[in-house]
Amino acid sequence: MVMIEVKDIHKSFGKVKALNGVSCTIQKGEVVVIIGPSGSGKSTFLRCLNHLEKIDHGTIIIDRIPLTDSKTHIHKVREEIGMVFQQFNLFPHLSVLRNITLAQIKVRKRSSEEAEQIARNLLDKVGIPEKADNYPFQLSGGQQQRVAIARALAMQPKIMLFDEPTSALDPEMIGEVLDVMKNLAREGMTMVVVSHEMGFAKEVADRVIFMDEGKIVEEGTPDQLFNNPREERTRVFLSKVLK
Amino acid sequence: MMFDFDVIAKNLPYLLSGVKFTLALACLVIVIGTFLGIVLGLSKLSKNRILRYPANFIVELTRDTPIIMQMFFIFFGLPALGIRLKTFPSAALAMSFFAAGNTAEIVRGAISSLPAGQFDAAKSLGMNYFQMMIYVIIPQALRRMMPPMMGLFTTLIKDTSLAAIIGAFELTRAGQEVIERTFRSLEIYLVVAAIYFIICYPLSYYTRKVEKARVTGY
Amino acid sequence: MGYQLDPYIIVKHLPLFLKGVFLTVEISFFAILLGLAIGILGAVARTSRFKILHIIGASYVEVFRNTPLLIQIFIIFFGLPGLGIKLSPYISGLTALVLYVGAYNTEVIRAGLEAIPKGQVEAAKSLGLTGVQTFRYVMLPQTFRISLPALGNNWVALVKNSSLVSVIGMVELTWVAYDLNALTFRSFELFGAATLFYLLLIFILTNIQSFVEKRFAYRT
Repeated sequence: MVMIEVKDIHKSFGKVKALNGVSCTIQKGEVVVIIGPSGSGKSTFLRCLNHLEKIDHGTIIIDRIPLTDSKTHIHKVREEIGMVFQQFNLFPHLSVLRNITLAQIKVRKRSSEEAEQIARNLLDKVGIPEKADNYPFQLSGGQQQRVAIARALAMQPKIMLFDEPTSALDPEMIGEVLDVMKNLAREGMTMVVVSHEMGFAKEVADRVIFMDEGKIVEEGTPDQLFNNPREERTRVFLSKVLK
Repeated sequence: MMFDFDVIAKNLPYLLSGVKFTLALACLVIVIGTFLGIVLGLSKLSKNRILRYPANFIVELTRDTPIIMQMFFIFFGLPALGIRLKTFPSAALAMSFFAAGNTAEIVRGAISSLPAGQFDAAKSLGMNYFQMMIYVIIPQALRRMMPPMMGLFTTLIKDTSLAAIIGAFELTRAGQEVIERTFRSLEIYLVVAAIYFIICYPLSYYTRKVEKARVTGY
Repeated sequence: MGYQLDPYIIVKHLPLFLKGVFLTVEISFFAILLGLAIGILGAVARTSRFKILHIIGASYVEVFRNTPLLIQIFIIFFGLPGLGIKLSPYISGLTALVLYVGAYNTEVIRAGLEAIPKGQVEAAKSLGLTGVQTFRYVMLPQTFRISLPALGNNWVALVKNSSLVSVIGMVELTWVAYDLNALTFRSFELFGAATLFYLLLIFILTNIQSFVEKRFAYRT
C-alpha cells in the first residue's frame, strides 16, 4: 500500500535550486535511507514531506491526503508523520515527560493520564524510563535523541522521518540511537531516514536512494546500490564515504 | 560655602511624597507598555503585512524620538485635536508608548534568538500557531526577556523625571519646588539623585544577577 | 474642531529649526567622541589589575547609570555654582551628556574586552609586544568590532538624550520647538516637525553604524 507518493517536486531557495524534479513512491512498512553529499537536497526533500518547507511545484500525497497549502491538509498530514531532527529540538523548559505528553494532550486531545501512560511506555521502549522527570539539559546527546524519538512516536504516526539523527552525536552514543531505530524498522514502521550511517542502511534498509544536486541519481536495495552501483556519481560518492 | 544639611532634613518628607508618584508612574507605564509591546512585537514578527507595517512604524516612531518630545506632543499638541490631557496622564501616555516600542523590540529579539528547531519541532508535532506560541515559544522567550525588561523598568523610573518638565508632580518636580523656596540647588539635587540611586541601584544589581543566572540555564 | 494645520509655519521658521538641528548634531558629535574616550578609560579601569581602579570605575558607572540624566544636568548647571563652579549651558550640557554616555560606554567596552579570547593576549605577549602595544593594536580594534552594535545603541540614545539640554537653555532642536510653541501655539506642526527631524537624524546615524559595521567586518 502506498504511503508516500511524490511526483516531480521542485524547490528553490532564492537562486539555489534544492530540489530539481524529484519523484518517489514509498510503501507502507518500507525503510528508505537517503544518502548523498551535503547540498544534495536530502534534508529539503524530507522537510517537504511534512510541509516544513513548501514546494514550488509538483505533488505530494501522504496516505492518500494531498499535501497542499490548506491548513487542514497540513495538519492532517502532520498527524500522520513524526519527525526526528539532527539537533534533537527538545523543549528545554519542559521535563522529559512533559516533552512527550504536551502534543498528545493539546493536539491529539488525550487525557493527561493516557498521555502519561503512553509516554512512560515509550520511554521504557527507548531504554530510559528513569529519566522521565529530568530536564533535557541533564541528559546526554544520545539520551536526548531517544527522548525525541519517543516524543514523535507518542503521536502514533504512520510514518517516521529522521533528518540525520546521529550526526550531532558523539560516536559512543550513535549505537544506542541506531538500535532504537532498528527496532522500529523491525516492527514495521514506515521510515524515511537521511543519514551517513551506511551500516544502518545495509542492515535495515529496504531501499537506498542516492541524491545529488537536487535529483535522485540512483536507487535500489542496499546490496544493489552499495555493491553494484550503476551510476558513476554514485560510485564516486561511495568511494569517498565507505573508506 | 557651607553644605546645608538642615535644609535637606526639613524638606526630605516633601521630596519623599514625590517618590510615590514616581513609582506609580513607572509601574503604570511598565504594565501598559508591556502589554502593548508584546502585541506590537508579535505583530512585527507576523507574516501578515497588514500587521507588520503599522507595527514597524509605531515601534520606530516611539523608539527613535526623545521621550520629552513625545510628552510635548501629547501635552501641547493633542489639545489641537480636542484632547486635553493633564500633566500626569500626558506623561503616562507618552512613556507608555516609549515602553511599548522598546518592549516590542525586546520581544522580537527574544523570539528571534530561539533556535529555529524549536519552531520545527512544535510544527512537526502538529501544533497550530497559538499552541506553539503559548506552550513552546513564549515560555522560552520570557526567560530571555527578563534582563532587558528589568533594564527597561530601571530606565523608565529614571525617565519619570522628565514629567517634571511638563509640570507633573513627582520627585524631580518636588525637588524643583523646594529649590524655588530655599535656593539650595546643590544640596537638594544631590539628595534627589541619591533617592533615585537608592531606588534604581538594587534593581540593576538584581538584573545583573538574573542575567548571570540565565547564562547557566538555557 | 476649529484647528487648521499650518505647515507653512515650519517653512517660516526653517532657519531657526536648522540652527537647532545643527546644535543637536554638534553636541551629539562631541559627546560621542568624548564619551568614547571616557568609555575606554573606564573599561581599562574596570579590567585593570589594581583594585582601587576597579572600585573607582564601578562607582562611576553605577552612579551615572542609576540616576536620571536630567538631575545630572541640573546638578552640573544649577548645583555647581554653589561650589563656585559656574559653567555655561553648553559646557554643562556637554559634560553631563559625556559623563552619562561614558558610563554606558564603559560597560559595553568592558564586555567587548572580556569577550576577546585569552589566546589573543597570549599570542601578542609571546611575540614580545608590551602591554600598551597589545592593547592598542590587538585588543582595542577587536573590542570595537565586537562592541559596535551596542555602542551604536548608546549613540542613538545620546541623540535622543541631547533633547534634555534644552532645559538649561541651549538652543538645540527641542528648545527651538518649545520656544516657537510658546510663541505661536502651533504645537502639532512644531513638535511633529521636530519629531521628524529626530527620526531623520537617528535614521542617518543607524545607517552610518551599519556601514561602519560592514566595513569593519570585511577586515578580519
